[in-house]
Amino acid sequence: MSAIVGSHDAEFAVEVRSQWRTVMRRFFRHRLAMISLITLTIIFLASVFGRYIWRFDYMERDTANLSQPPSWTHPFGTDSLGKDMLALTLRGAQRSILIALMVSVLSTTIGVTLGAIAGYFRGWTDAIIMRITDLLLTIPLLILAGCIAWQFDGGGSWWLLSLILGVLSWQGTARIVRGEFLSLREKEFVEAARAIGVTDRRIIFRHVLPNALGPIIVSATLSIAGAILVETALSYLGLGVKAPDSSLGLLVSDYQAAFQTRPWLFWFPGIFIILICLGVNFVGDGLRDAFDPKQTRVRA
Amino acid sequence: MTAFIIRRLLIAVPVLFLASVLTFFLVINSGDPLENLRAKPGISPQVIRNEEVRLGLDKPFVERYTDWAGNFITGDLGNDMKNRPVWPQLWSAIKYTLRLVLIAELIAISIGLMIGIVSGVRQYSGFDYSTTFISFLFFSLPVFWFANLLKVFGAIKFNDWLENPGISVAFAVVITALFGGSFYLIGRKRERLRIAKPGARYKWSGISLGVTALVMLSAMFSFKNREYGRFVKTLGSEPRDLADSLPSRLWSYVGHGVLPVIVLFTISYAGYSRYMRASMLEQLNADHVRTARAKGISETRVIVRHAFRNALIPIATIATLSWGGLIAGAVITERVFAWNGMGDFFLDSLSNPTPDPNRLLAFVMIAATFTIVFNIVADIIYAALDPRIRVS
Repeated sequence: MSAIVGSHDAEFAVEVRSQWRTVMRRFFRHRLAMISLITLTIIFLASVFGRYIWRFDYMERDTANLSQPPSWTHPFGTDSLGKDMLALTLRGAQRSILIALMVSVLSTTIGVTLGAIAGYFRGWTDAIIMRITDLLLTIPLLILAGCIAWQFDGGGSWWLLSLILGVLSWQGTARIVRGEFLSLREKEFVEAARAIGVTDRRIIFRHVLPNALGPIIVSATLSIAGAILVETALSYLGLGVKAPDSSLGLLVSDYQAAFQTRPWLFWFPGIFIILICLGVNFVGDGLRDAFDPKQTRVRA
Repeated sequence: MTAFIIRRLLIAVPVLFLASVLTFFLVINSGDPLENLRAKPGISPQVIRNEEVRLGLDKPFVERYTDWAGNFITGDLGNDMKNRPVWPQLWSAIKYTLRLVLIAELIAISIGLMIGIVSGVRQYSGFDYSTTFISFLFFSLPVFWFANLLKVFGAIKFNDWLENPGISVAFAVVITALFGGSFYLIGRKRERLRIAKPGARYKWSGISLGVTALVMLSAMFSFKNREYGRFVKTLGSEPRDLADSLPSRLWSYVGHGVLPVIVLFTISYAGYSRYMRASMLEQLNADHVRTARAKGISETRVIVRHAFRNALIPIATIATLSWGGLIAGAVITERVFAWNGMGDFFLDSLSNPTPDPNRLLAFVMIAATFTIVFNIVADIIYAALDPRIRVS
């Protein structure tokens, strides 16, 4: 993406860094964000491909090793049925991550669309969309999602739960995008585009949206962490994912009674939730710093 | 001001209306509440018919809603499906939850703001990095997991320890090293910044302070704490026998409340400290702070009078936004610690045995009303703090 300006005088060549390149550079220098990104990638790959590599399946019962503490054969120990805890945790993590990604994609899409329409057209459209946002903000997400998930018998299935959570959690993104659009639509380049007769749709998607991409990416990233926490909480309360399907929250709920006697069953699913959320939050923070035009100092 | 409040309350009416319709629609279409009754052998059709009339199942959706709304406007929240009035149950739940949430929120605000200010002023210092990490950890903590963890380590193990207190040699060494080490680091830094006189013996004063702390700790726990039994409680929202003397009852309230409050504190602390830090940073880079420094005002005064005061303004909005998170957090916390609060009320309403319309509607209305009132209060505080904003 870099270009050489004034190339006829190579000695004083100035390398132009595009905005994306600057952002990438800043992000890669953010040490914590990079460590988190690597950790997240490892967890993600392990949860997706783990079952093809790991010697135990989550259904398999190692009857010779019931309720074993962590050992070389079972790094996370086994439960009272002899199921391998590592396999169970990886499967739970896979489901939780899948739901969180779905929720993030869905809520970002809805949020960006509604926020863009509200901010760009203003007036009545804006008023109606923002009142809906307010309405959904007055009722806590957990309550609303709990009510609806109950309707569909706990969602039971992961995709229904992610649909419910996605449809209910776009308010934050919509507000951010609307704010960006409200200020960007007054800029000269939008005026210029309008003056040469560009359609509204093209202005929104080709002129304004790319300029609002920074905050959108940040909020999409952070919404993954929020989604994981809400999903695991709902599953813990019995309103989310249900057996035979799995989730990290369900695992904690299943094994919480065993904490005193077999603590390893309780520790690992919880630590996985924390690792994933912490990783996502740090990556989000790194992205925010990277996108921030006021940011001059590169964090160590 | 009055006009502003009235207008905001008027805007709240359609929001509440829509929220109630939404909830009503969701709850009504969630299975037959009389399913168990119908399946029972030997129940006469008349009994079932009477139940249908009592629950309004024989009426169409709109009529059931208008019935409910009419009662709601007159302040009657109706009876639940087991024919008990809703309001007394909800009111006792609100009292427990508010006690929990308000105490946790107050502690979170005060500690969060303090930490936020210091880490804003000392940006990119060791203190800033560690508090940032703690905030992110709290952001990422699954409430249900942390609450269970506290139950075991904060209550069961701690109570065990209280019954037979003793400090191991390793613990003593760690405590002393911690005090000595941190004082040594502070001292070195102060010497480098030329605040302290060179040669100050921070290391030794730290170690001696650590030893003093140890002696005091062991003195505190050297008597057997028989009087209050197992002090930190894991279940229940209040002491069972209310006949006890006042101090021991108060002590018991503390024992019941301390763990849930800690859990809720972790939920909202992180937000306050992060936003306060960001807000502080913005103010410290503002022109008026530079002017204040240029006038030669002392740094403390610049921070307290010029930066801190202005940095507080955006925090007013955060305080109201954290309410939704707190209610959600309270639902889980109350489940784990078996409190009879709003969370418990909500979860019970969902399976009563099918979702109970009157109970759920009452809950959603109360939760929404709190949110709306808090938002209005925030706007008023906002205007009071910032003379550039006028509510009219």
